Amino acid sequence: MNKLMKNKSLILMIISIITLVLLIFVPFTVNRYIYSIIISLMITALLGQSWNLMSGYAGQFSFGHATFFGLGAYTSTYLYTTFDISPWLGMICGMLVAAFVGIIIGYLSFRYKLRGDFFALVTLAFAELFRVLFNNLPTFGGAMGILLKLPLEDNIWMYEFTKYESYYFVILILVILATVFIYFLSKNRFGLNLIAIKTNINAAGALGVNVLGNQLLAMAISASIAAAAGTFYAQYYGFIDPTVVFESDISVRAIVPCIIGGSGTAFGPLLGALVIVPLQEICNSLFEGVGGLNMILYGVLIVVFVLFCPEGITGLIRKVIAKRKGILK
Amino acid sequence: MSLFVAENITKSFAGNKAVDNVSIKINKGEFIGLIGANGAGKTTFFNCLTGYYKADSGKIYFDGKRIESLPAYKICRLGIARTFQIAKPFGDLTVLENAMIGAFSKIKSKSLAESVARESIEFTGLLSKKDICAKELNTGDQRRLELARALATKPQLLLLDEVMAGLTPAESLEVVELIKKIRSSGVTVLMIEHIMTALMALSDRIYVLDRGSLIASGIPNDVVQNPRVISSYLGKRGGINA
Repeated sequence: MNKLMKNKSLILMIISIITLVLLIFVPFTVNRYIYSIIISLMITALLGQSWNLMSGYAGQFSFGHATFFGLGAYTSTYLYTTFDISPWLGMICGMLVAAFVGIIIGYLSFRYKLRGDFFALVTLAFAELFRVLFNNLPTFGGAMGILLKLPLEDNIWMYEFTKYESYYFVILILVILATVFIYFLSKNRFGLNLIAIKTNINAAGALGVNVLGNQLLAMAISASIAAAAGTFYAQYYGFIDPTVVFESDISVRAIVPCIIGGSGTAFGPLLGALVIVPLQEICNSLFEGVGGLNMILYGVLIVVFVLFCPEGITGLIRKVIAKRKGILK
Repeated sequence: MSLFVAENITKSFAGNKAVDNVSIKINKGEFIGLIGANGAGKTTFFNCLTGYYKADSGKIYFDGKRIESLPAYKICRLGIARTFQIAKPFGDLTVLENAMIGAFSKIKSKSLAESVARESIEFTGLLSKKDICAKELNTGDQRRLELARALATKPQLLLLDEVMAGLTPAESLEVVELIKKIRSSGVTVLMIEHIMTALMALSDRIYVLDRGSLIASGIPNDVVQNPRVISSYLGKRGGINA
């Protein structure tokens, strides 16, 4: 048994190293178009990872991660364009703001024991609230949004890069950090507590798990990861407006990779992003000019996965392994 | 001094008094039984004691401290663990991880929590199944796991809610043995049960609930002779042999 586990972790390590090496050499091999897809994939993965902690592990289904994404994007961008504060600092401020708002949303909901669909609706409502709010706040550019200046030279401290590669490495590091962090959390006290809360909230309480505290902490961490993704988005695309960053499309982008890849697992969102973003891109090019067909495909894919493979790709892999082990016995 | 005192606990749901002015006292090291027919208010009373319901009135003392307004997890951390009538295992986690959640209530370190959890699953006879997902256990083992998790919180007082419910007679006997073992390890126990024979054998004292109120208390042999207990719970002897 122990030997098997050791083998397993060895294989896992080899796979991770190979993946990492491949990822590092990506910049030297692909063209700009592929680049933009990969970066978009990474943003999706980061958003997915953020959703994963709160909804995958802790079981609090959020439909409004755009709230945190948008707050992250707006906080850093506002500080950057108005006060010339480094977006890195802005990112941290954004993460704090998002965590704060997350805790407020969480406290309001969990205090009244809102769960499942009702909690999802609350998060959706908050995302809409912020979209409308920012659409009407002239300080933040209102519906016009904020246009960032085009970086003319590389300036790491100011999050300004002229090359795609640099952005690629920034988002790569963010995704790796988030994944390692969540993997670490999931293997420790906090992760076990979250799974306990997800499975049975009453039994968790009876075993001394501070349900509200853990839920709020999960919410705060999840929100700050989404906010970091928001800052990256703003710096990379150079333009944000409320209908982009607070749009439900962003919330969906946080959910889908988890559902496809397998929520509540550290690598699920990465696998999910790896599948859906290229798929979407392929659909876009296949059905060019037929607007909305990619979204239809998105929907169909989710329905299929929820029906036939509710535990996502990782769940599927696990089942296959379990079956093979069964046969070997 | 008593380890645990509940004074005049009352809890109503929409005007119906599920628990009506119930008081109990538990001394350290005692094994107390709580019996009553279905709907007598046993589980409601339990839920009031463990912070799941807020009692409408009454005071609860544990180790001299007032605990009636504390949330469930704080009560657990003070040293009162409970099991549920319907086992609630964390299905996707292994047996060991299930017990670790209990151990984590008082221990921050993972390795320490793991060794405490391992101890408690060994105590309940689940060590050979420690890496199995909890959802794959049978009912008897799930009940053991329920006990193991509760014990992993290192309780001074253990509240057992019908641990025998749904078990086969053979499984019940095993669980009784396990409970005896828990008792001799020095844990004070309050146990709800409606299998009278099981409680008779185990308890130092018994409380009897009927329609929300306490109708009798005392040592088992006295309680079963009490006419009110006989008429409301055990049923009248008579008929053929009378």
